[in-house]
Amino acid sequence: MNKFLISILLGCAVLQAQPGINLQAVRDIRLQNLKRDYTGSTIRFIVPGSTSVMGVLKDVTDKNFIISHNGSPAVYSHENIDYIFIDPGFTGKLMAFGVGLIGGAGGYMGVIIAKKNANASWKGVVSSIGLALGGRIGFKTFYKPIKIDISGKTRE
Amino acid sequence: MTIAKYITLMLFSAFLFAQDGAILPGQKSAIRSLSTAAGFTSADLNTYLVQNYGQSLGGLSRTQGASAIKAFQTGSASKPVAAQQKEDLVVASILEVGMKKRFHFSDGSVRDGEIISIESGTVAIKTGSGTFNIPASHFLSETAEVKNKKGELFKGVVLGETAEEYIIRTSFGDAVVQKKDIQSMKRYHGGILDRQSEERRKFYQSEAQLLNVFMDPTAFPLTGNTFYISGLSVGYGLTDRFMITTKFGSDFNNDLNLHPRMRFYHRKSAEKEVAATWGLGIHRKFPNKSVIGKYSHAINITEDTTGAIPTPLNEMTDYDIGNVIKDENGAGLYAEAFLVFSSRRVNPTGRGKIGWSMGAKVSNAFVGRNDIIKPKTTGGDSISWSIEGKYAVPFRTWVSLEYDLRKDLKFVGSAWVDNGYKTLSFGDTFDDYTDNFALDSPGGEVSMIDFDFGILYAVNESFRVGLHFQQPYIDFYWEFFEF
Repeated sequence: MNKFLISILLGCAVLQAQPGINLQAVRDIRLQNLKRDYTGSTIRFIVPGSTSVMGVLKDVTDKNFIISHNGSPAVYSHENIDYIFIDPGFTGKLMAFGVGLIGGAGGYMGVIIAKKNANASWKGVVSSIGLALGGRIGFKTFYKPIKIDISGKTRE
Repeated sequence: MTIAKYITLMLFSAFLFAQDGAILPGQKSAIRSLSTAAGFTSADLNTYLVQNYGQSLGGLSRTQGASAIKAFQTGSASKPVAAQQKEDLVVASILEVGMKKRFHFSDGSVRDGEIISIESGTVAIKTGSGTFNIPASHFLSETAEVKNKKGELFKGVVLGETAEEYIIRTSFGDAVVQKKDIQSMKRYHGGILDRQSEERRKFYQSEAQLLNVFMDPTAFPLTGNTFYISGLSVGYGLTDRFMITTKFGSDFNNDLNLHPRMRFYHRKSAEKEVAATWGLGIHRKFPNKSVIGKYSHAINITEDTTGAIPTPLNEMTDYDIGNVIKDENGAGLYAEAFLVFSSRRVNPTGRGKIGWSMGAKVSNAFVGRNDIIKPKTTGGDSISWSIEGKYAVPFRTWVSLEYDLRKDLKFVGSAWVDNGYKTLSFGDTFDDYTDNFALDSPGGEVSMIDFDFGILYAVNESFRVGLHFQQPYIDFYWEFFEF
């Protein structure tokens, strides 16, 4: 009976120990991936106290991020940070505007085909609707931050 | 249609269905002899095939047969070890509180749920149908073989799965594999390849990655060093963001043409991929009759009588291109340019992806257009291009949609505004295509704002066929990786 109890206790200890082992190993790999893929990119993260920090990622060490703010380096511990955000830049805005332009052009072409002798008001209104819809879709698609998980969680 | 056309269609269909048929006798024989040479008994071979392909030798497809032969030839097929299989079937090596996923059990049952406690070897799992207390020894291990796009292969226990990654415990440490980098994946429950439930229920992306929806491009080009052939064109991906295609029907008619396409913007995460691409098309001798054919509804014939109303060429029963073209064999430099934006994201249901594209295309077809038509017909009727604003510039804008229904089946749809579009019946499209392997018929009914939808079936990873309701009605596409 004693052996049986010891076996169960040992089994439970092994099972309970798994999350701790996973966390650090998985987190380390994710931090390495972050360093590989995003060094030199502008990143944003929330440090304890709900303060948002933004800067160019220079390096990722075992304990810290090294971030450049206007050319001067700063060190932030990543111990309590689970997510990093990469915000879209000016190019993202241009892409969103491009989608809007195509929407506007589609609206204009649609109205000159569908309505014979369409006057300027018709053309203006339909083009503007196309531009607004396209722009909205464009911004929702191209102007969104990428969220990168650097936690050690192995499940959703 | 003539009998010849029916026969061609039947042969074509047979060709399509033959793409991934049952294993060939020669392949069976090769697998048997290679496995015997590798020290496999019949039982070992059967176990190996069931574990890796979910089928016995007779049930394999041609593609699977080829894959098995390759595995034996490269020595990567290892003999199944009975003891190890038994161990895999016994228990999941890692169970933890909070684990939330689809669990497989030794009695064959499957439950979606979350582990809420583990006490004395009994796991309490909360599902939508209630809470169950199940001995830990009944949880099957979940292992996977994941091959990424670089060719790295990871084998091990699946520790977890997020929207972006798989976390796999390999013999040499834990691996976090980004889903966006996965080329292929096999999943095992209790050591047995699970092809039926898991892959059909939930898959990351479908077999077919679209370069075009019908005739309109998406912003995702071919991957580097990949060659494709379709019914109208051939193409090659020079890098991951630059590709070139050519329309072979025109090439064989002395109209050499190139269509480069460049992806200039790209952002990708595991959940979402967005891109923007520009493209050009240059034809050195684009036939004038193709321009007239495409825009025949923009050419007016006015009878030589007072007060006559102009009638578009496509509505004149007694006129055709030959009556209005200045030089039957005339051709000129033709250029077109397009810009397209695309987005693909993981379907919230977990079944594949949903994507859309939006683009616009213009061409120089109307530059010098008065020089390609006669001013008058032989009967004295005058010929002129319409001066309506809608025919000022040749254009096309489109919005297209793709939706993964299954791993091998996609729903595709498209809507467009195009001042040169005419719908053609299937018979007329077939005649037009078989004439010169191009779609340039002057016939059809003008339909400048229109839509189309259909399905696309991926016969295997590299070959797919599509059916829809407007020309060209049937699409097929063959891709050769690492060409």
